[in-house]
Amino acid sequence: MKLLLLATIATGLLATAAGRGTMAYFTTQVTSTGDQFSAGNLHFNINDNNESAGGLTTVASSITLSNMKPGDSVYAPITVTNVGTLDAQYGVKYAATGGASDLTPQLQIALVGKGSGAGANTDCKSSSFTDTTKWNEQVAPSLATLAASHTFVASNSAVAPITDGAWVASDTTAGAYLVLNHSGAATLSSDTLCVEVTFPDGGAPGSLTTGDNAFNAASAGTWSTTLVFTIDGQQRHHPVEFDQPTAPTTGNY
Amino acid sequence: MVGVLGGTPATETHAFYSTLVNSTANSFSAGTLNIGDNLAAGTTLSMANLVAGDSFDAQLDIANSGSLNLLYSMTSSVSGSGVLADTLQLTIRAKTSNPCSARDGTSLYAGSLASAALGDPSHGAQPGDRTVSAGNTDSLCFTVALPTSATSTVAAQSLSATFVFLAEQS
Repeated sequence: MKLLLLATIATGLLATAAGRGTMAYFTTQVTSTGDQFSAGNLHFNINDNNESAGGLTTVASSITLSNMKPGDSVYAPITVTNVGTLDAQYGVKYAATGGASDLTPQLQIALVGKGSGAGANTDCKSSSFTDTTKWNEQVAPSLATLAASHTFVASNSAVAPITDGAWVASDTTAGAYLVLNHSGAATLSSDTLCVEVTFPDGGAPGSLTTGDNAFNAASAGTWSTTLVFTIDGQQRHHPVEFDQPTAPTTGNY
Repeated sequence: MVGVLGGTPATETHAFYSTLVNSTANSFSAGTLNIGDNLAAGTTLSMANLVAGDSFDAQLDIANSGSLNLLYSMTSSVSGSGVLADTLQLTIRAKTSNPCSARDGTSLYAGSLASAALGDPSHGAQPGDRTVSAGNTDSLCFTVALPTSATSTVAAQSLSATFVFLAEQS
């Protein structure tokens, strides 16, 4: 019984000491309010020479040429606009479908983008493919044989361009994506691609059935191909940062 | 706790916004290049028992039956009497609205049958090449004459001439 009483007294002394320490602390508090989060949106529109209405997500016959002969070339601009609220990165690809006889392997294609250049849509012509002032994104300026499908630039590329809206040699090897800023941005919310398709002149055929004459069918259009260009985009990553705090003028120490 | 962290990156990937626009029906097709004439070879342009001073006219229609505009040239070759080929005079004219016998069209060639030619068969457009738009016909008038100055060296001689019309896209 004597032993139990001593233990109780000791506990009471400890509790009393702790209570005094707590009451002596300074405390203060500040609050950051109004931290809102809302979902943005990401939408592209597309236009070409024969379809300029707003809100289009598909256009047709942007660049066509029937009754082609060796040596013919056709040029056309395709404009893509970011009408969303998010900055985007985008890529360009095409798929070719041959007709009764497949003209695809006989055709060649080149593509450049205006990017941050000064080019107007009407500048889409043969000289566009070397004019790096007006057409800043020299994506594929040299004619290459048309393939069944080809990706010029992958939209999901992890490589950012060295300069938004401009294409430099190192971007080509790195496969950097193209940029479309959000609709309210001062620059690069719209981009124009200039496409060239050429039926190259193979020179004088050796006979009526060889060389380019192999594609001279009994009726026009037997040799043909149809292209579908796809411009796909995704949101561009931006780190979210809190506002920078301002240095306090007073405080507790 | 480890499981929760592992799942987070996958969720972010699927949360990417993406969008897509298309340009479709961009079509390209090749045209055709075909040339034809309205003559059965070896019939219309033949004549026999010529005497000095004889001449005749014949019309030759060069038709563009393809979908592309073309330009053509003509070359010729002869087999048989070289003397007669050098002596026979050929004039090729563009046909007017009058029959070839009027001989009033623009002269395209005038000289011996042996060296008859129009334009240049080399690749590309050259002087003298004739142009025919798709679906149209170019009518030529051939006049062959044995001059009155012909000597007896051509008597009883004969030859066969072949005219080759070579067309290319214009």
